[in-house]
Amino acid sequence: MAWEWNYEYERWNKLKKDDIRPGMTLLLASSLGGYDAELGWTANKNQSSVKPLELEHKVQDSLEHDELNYTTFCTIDEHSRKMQEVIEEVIKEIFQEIEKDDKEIKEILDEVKLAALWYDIGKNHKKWQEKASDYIKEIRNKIEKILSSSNITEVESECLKSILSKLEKPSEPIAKFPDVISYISSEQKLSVELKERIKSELNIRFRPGIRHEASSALLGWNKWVNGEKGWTPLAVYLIATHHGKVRTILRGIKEDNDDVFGIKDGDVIPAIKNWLNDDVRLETYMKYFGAKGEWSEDCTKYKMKTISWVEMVDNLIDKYGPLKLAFLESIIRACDMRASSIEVNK
Amino acid sequence: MSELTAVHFEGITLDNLGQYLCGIGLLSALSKNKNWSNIRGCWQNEHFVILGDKISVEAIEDYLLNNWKPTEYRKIWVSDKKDKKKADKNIWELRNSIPDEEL
Repeated sequence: MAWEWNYEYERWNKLKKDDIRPGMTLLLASSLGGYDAELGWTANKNQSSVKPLELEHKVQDSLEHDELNYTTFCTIDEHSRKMQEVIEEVIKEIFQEIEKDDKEIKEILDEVKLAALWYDIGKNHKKWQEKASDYIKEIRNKIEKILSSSNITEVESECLKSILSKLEKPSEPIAKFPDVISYISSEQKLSVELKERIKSELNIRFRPGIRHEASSALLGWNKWVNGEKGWTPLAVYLIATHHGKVRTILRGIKEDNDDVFGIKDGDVIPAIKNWLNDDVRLETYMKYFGAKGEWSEDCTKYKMKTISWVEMVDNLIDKYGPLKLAFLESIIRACDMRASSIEVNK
Repeated sequence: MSELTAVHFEGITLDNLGQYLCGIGLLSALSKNKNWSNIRGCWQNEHFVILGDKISVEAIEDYLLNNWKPTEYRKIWVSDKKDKKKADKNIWELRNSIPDEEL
């Protein structure tokens, strides 16, 4: 019997023999034997001593988990403004050779810029902000508990207090917050033993239960179908794809499957200063196949209002092709990383 | 977004799988007409409905009777038994050598 770790749902999947393909990393009972670390599969059942493999690559995010690699808080407003600067910079670097009067490219770049501006606004979803507050509170409580214990030195205590002081959450909605584990790992003043103890005590993951990029994309969809200036399917698509989890299908990740990556129909993105004047109610109808619209009274006419997500993606693939789309996606991703690294260094 | 004309096919119902496939087949046949590339189909009140621009019962009848040709049904694995085309690999190779529209 072999097992494979499912990163998206963070559980082991049992595999049948036909499911096994080259390149997979699988879990097997070493008692089964038949494996030699030098030679590979030998079918010799007596070879039962196997060293566990260390994962060489960084594990992927699960669908309900958001990666943290920041050392400071950053509000949604601050991060989005930073993205605005970075995207202008990056586009200038990449497209300096292209003639500025190329209307088609200019239009595409305007859509890329719009996507970069709005791609993290979905983090203002109530669930994401609440889970972020809960997570920070839990981390703070655990550090305070360690501080109150008697077996730490004065220097270590000062160091932990300094970390605690960095965990004061701003009153405005946040987009990024500190990864305390990484922070502690790099702290020179803490002993190795204390670092290990803190790491094991703080070993909790941030699980907002929604994909924030899906939340931002649904907000973008709302703007596009309501005809807001500049909003296009490409901008909505690029918002959705910036972590590579949401792309061609808006699937549900909850048991009843009526959500879009954890977001329920009717969920609200609250108003946010400089970005949204009013609360926006998110809809999830576009996840279903077909076109939304209204029938005339005698059912001889159908007024189409919007297409489905799948049809939108299909139209984009027809228009741009998968390679152009992938290239545009990578611009947004690269800018996200650059903007975040500027915040970290700051 | 556009306003589409609806043509109702009350004889194509959801009573059995054959009727369901008939609806899907009709949609597939009509979508081959280049003038109706944005054609859509749906089920309403338990019967099939075709939706599109510039579409009518007469136009659909005319197209099906005078222009549309059913896709040719070919038993590619029967054509030359001597070559053992029944073998999985041969069928697979043969299928890949024939353009999609001919299959």
